[in-house]
Amino acid sequence: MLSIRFDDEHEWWVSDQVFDRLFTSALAHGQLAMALEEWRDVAAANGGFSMSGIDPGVARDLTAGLRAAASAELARLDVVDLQTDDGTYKASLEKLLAIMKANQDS
Amino acid sequence: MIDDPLPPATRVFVSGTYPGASQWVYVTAFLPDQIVRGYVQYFRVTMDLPEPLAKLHEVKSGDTAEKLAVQEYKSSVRDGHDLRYYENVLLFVNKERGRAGITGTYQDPGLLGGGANNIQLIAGHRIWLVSPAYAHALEGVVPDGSLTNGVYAKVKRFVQHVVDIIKSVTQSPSYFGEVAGEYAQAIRDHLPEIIGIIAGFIAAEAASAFLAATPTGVSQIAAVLIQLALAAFGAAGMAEAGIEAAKHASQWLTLAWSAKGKDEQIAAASREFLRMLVSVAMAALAYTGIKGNLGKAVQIEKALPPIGMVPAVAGGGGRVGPAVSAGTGVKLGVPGPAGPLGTAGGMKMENNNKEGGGGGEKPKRPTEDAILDDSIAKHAKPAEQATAGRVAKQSQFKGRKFAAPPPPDPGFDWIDDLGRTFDAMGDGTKAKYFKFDQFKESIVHHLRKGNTYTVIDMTGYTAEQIAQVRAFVDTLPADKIIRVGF
Repeated sequence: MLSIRFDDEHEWWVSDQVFDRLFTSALAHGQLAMALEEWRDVAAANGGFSMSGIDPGVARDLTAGLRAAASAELARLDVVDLQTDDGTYKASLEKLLAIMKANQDS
Repeated sequence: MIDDPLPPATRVFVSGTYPGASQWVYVTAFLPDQIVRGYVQYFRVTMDLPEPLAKLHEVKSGDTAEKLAVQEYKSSVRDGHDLRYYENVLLFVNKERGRAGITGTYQDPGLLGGGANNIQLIAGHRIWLVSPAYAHALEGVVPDGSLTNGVYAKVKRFVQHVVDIIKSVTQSPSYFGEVAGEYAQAIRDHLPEIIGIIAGFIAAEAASAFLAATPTGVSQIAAVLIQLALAAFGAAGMAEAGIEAAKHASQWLTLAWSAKGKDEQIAAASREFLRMLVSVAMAALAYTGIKGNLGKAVQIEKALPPIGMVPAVAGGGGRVGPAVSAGTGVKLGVPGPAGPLGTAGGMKMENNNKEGGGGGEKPKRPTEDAILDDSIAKHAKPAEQATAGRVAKQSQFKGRKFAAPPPPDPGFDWIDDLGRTFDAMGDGTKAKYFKFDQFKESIVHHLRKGNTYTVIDMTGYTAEQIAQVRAFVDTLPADKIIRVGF
């Protein structure tokens, strides 16, 4: 599992597979610049990462890119069975967007 | 622990196998005055029941089909279903199962008087006695029909409640991450006992209680189940576990009762079951004082053996070995996904196999590395698979089995057959992206998740990186951390 932390109170607890899939999609669809690709490896190497511990510009781009990718993926997925990999993916993305929103509102 | 063999054909709940010796299954049996648990050889347990509530009956000299029909179905007799119908049910069910203890031809319910001895029983053989509800469901089949799909569906519907409730219990470990919180460890430590006892109780009492109850009439059953859970926590005799426990217990049973096999609703029921356990754990952990007399539930604590290993031998009902002594015990297994029901033939719990009584080898303590279930390859990334493989080689996990649960995401990477969850971090193939501050902070966050173990795998990292992590991990409590590669 990975711990992706937006601040002290907002953490996305996500499986490596889901994070990998979202990150790959974000790179493929241009929501994340290729220059940010290494952050997928940073997450894998460190059990996740904290946005507050990295350059603010990078954190902002990562957050925006993941949000955009998650929204696009959710729109594409539509209705899926929760007992499938797609179901887990969808539930995790919804959780990510909720956490991001809460982080934004706080 | 009991001094005498269990009666022949004792109804048991099978909830796991002994690690490294899968021919021994772990069972819980409800006797009239106590609950006993232990291992019995697989071949001594019949798991292919005609229906979950069926029981085996050893035919005695003087038994007749009519007598058994009176004993089992008298209260179910109604127009069109007189006792002869139930005698036919006995013949039908046992013919279907190839049981030799009953022969003859079907009674004609339309006859008055004649044909009363068409069905004969053979003493010394065992035959199935199905529940009244199942017998009703066979209407249209007995005496001369066959088990068509339509009838099968009808039969299945009546057992669905029980199957779903048991499933909601046995599948509950999948939801630990999201439900159990800070009480996860306390519950996990007792979960094998709780599952065996509660599922065993449901299986044992289903015919008498559950089929008569409705989703709105479960509070009494819930109260008993809470007492059983309290006993498993070592708090037998505690007066009550609070309103919360009762509320969750009722919701659990209601959800499971009405699930009709729907996985999502059974999952919701599993979560309520765990919430009930959280409430019970909170109460039990705070419990002090004098134990009261609460009947059967109080007996459980005495019957719960300490951790260890006792083979259970079925000896056909005879006495097969020396009495069981206190101090030996049972290493608890883990429930399978569906918690099969079974009937053990003359099971005997014993601590010593010197006098034989059933043959078979006594299982040895496991010496093999933990086994990785195929699900690990299916649901885990290569780095996690590699980490699971390394953990499997650690001596403390010898004989265990690791599995990665299917979706939905349970909040951990894999689980072993004792219900312990593992969350792994570290991927040495990406060591060049190591950032000590991030790694350190991640460890702290991983540890907060309530999983049994956080696995820190430093395989492939540089010596300097490993030294940094080791220095930090040395400052943390060791019991929840598994070190790999350092």
